[in-house]
Amino acid sequence: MPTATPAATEELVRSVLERLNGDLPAADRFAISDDTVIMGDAGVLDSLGIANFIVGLEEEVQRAFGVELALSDQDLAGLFEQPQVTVQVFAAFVHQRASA
Amino acid sequence: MGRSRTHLLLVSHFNLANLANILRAREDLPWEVSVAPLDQVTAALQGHVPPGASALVWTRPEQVSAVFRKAVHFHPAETAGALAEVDAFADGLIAAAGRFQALYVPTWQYPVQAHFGTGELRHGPYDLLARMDLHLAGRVADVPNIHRMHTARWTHRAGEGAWSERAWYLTKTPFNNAVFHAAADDLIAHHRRSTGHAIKLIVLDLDDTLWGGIVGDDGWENLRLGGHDAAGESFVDFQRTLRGLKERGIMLAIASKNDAAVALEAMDKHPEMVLRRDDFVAMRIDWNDKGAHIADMVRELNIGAQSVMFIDDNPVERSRVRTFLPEVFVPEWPANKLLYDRTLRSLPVFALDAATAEDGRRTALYQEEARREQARAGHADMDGWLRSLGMEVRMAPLNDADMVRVHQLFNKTNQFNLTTRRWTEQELRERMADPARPVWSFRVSDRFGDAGLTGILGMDLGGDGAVITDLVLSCRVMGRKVEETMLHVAVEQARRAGKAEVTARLLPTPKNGPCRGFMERSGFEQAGDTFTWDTVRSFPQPATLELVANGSPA
Repeated sequence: MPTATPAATEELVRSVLERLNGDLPAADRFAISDDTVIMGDAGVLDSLGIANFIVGLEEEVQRAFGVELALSDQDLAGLFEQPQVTVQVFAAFVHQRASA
Repeated sequence: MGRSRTHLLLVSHFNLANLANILRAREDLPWEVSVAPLDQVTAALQGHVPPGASALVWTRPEQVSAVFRKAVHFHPAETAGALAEVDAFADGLIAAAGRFQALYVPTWQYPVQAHFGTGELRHGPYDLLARMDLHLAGRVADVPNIHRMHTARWTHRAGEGAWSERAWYLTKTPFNNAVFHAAADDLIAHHRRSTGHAIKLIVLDLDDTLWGGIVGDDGWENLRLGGHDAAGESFVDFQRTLRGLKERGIMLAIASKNDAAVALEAMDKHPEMVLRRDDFVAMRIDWNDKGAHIADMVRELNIGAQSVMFIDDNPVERSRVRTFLPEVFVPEWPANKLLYDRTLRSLPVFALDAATAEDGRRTALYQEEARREQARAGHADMDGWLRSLGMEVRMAPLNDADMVRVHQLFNKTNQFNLTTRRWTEQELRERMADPARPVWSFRVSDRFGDAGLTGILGMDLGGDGAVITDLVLSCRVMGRKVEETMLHVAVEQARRAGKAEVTARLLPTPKNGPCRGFMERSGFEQAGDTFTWDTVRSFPQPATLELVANGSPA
């Protein structure tokens, strides 16, 4: 099973976002880059989008790396304190949790 | 010309926002989609309904039935109590069906992972859920615009992750998005089928498609068809399914690169052939291009290319037909012959909801039409040919016996259709009871056979003038002066009602050019899309046929 390297984790975060994006009406889709703000001020995801993202991410991390990642509200609270959570920031957070 | 989309309301005990997004992302979506407040099923079904709106009513059995909810928590299940709760739910659905164009009601499911002990299938929740589902099916079976949808098909397609605890606890969404994609596919396919976009003709290859082997090389005696042979049995099952579709009104045809005499000998002589020559409306067995043959069939049968499906085991032939006739539906076909029957059954392209007598006779009707056309060659003038047919057109006011066929004709006919207005059975029943808005059906027969109920005329006689609200004619009798007969009837009805003029407003669509062409030639005075007749004059009744009303000549 592949190891959750920083690059592999970021790739996985992007793939989950891309899948979410594909399920949105064309007018609601967003561009995805390292700097895309996922949540927080000017974040691309609404509350349902964030929940879908977390669900998809947990499933994909388990499938890709064999790591059970159960992100609680407390886990995310630290992230939410930041004004903007980008793809890069979130990937680093997931990498840290998946490697712990 | 684009037409305004109708409305689809998503009603559920759980969160359908993801399904709403998935539907809205579809370019072929026929509806504006909105989501009713979560868990407000009864209120949503009783609330305001935009005209022509449909609803998806996707409920959880735990919330329809308190008995079932207790059963999944290991309490004894009282079947009678659960069925009474289903009755209450069914009553709500049936009442709502009168207000919606269509209600789509997915079957109930419970995650199969749940284990309730050894008694689960005899007295447990699964047994109870099966009884509840069957009870609901029975209660709504006779309500034509309640369409039960097969949830198991969607969860099966989504695979192991179909049920998502994570999504449930985080968002009150029990399924992952793969289930919703499958549901969206089925909803849109159902809508398309019921609005005139169903497959009407399946064109089939022969070698390694209808039977196993190459008949020209192997001989008909050595084809793999039936017998104690897995592939042979699978071809028989495939043919049985095709024959079943034919009996429900889907026409079959052959396009095969073969020696015709050899192929037909196999069809006639092989004892395990389920399909015989008479089952096909057209056969093109030669070495010419299949795409050109299918284009000929489309012209001959007077159907749209989008109503045709082509099945061939050869990917080169499939690619050729896709390129030559992009509107024809060419499904990917499995290399494994054992999967033919399943693949055919999995295609959501057939309208099989309510078969009518006309459906069962469709192949015969088109064969009669071919004989009619042959007879035409012997007549120099059109009227002479029409007189030779001995046509009889019988008209009758809309009645219960004809309701299913009239509803079907309204919803399937695109080419000769004045407004392409789709009516629900409920709306048609309301018109039956309203003498100011009469609807008549027209049956056409001649010496070659009975074409059945093929025409509809709807009028509004309640205003200052008479209005033709609906003028619908099946393509199978177009051009035989039935359309003139219907206008004659419309004008006579207006005269009897004391109206000074009859007006028909055509609503143009990409497909109803034949209706426009007829109206432009009819003699009605044209102003844009509006056609008017002054009732000082009768509209001439064609002399080439006999019009019979209520059993006597009109």
